[in-house]
Amino acid sequence: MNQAVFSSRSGRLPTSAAAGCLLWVSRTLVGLLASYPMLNAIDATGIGGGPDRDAVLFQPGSLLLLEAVRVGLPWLGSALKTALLLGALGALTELIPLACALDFLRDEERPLGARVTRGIQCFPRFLALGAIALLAEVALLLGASLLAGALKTALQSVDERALSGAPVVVFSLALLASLWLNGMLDLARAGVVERDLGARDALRQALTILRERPFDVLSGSYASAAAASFAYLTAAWLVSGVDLTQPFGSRIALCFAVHQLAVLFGVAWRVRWLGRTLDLNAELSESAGD
Amino acid sequence: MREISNAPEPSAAGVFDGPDGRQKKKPDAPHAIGQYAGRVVVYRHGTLELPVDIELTCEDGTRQRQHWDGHGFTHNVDYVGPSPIVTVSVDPEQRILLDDDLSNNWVSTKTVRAPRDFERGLYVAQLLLGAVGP
Repeated sequence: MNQAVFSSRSGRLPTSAAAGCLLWVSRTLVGLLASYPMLNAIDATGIGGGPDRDAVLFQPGSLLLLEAVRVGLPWLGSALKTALLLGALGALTELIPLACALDFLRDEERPLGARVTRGIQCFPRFLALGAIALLAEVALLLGASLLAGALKTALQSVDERALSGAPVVVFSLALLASLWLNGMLDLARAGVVERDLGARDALRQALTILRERPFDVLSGSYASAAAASFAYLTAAWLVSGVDLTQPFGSRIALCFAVHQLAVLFGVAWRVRWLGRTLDLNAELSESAGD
Repeated sequence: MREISNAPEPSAAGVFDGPDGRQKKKPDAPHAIGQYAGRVVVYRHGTLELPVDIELTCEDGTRQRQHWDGHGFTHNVDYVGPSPIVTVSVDPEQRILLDDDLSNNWVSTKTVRAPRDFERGLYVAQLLLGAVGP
């Protein structure tokens, strides 16, 4: 069994690269679409119309950045609503590239058209799984809020530090649980692609995998999230040293490159985790004697 | 509100009377442009009269600064130079903090691109999609 899984992983590098590129391209395209209304609204404020263009918005303690927000608040508000709507619709359509990426990782030799068809076929089940995960996360957030409120009341007479630290601990645990839910969701999606399961069966299989291999599931999903966070924080640290107020295109290009490398790094770790979800599903199927 | 107008000024050509007698000067070349003449009209909003600097930025990147004492509702800035004016900014260093709308202190004849905004906007959108997307 282990040999079979190992041999499936060894030939996965080109398909992993293809899957990563697909996820990065889809995220970039949706990002362009979602950010477009906001960029237009900032242009409409006229703040970047001077000789230094938009560099004035990046000056330390920029008065003009505040002015752009103050003067352009009506445009920015309506553009934000449009951007959120476009982002939500884009995130839904990103389920198809995600299914294609899982298909890339599962099966090396297939024409692209067949992968896209498979992605479209998986879309309704991915949507159902996403809705279930969203409801679970809302319930989790609600539970965390209620627990934080109850702790606040219970700890009134205790130390002040415990009173202010309790909500932080509760919401940190809720964040970890939310990551765990996302890991479960990825396992279920992999079950849909790997074994063509329905949403309910895929969820049941994901729960079985979690029960049998809890460390593999948690370490895989947490490592992916932690690596992406590390990449974003490193990018923020590197870019904070670049002075964008100077009229040099090379500095903007450098920031762009650093940010996109961080996104690619996060995507690469996500692809690694998605490949692991397929392996976990395959191992469960083999151990069940399918 | 400001207005920018530019017009090319071809080199003088024709027959001229000079100290050395009559001189003929041919045009340099078809459509040859020696200099540009420009005019900028600056309007003052409100009743408060404050002296301001007006900065003209030309296509070749050179900048010229002129001073307006703030009297009158409009002020014309005349310009003659080798390159047309592309951007005008009033109070370029934002010294007048009483200005209740800094967004109308510039005007440009060119479409302004915002590469920094684009770069940051795209990255923020990608981060949000990574956090809440699939």
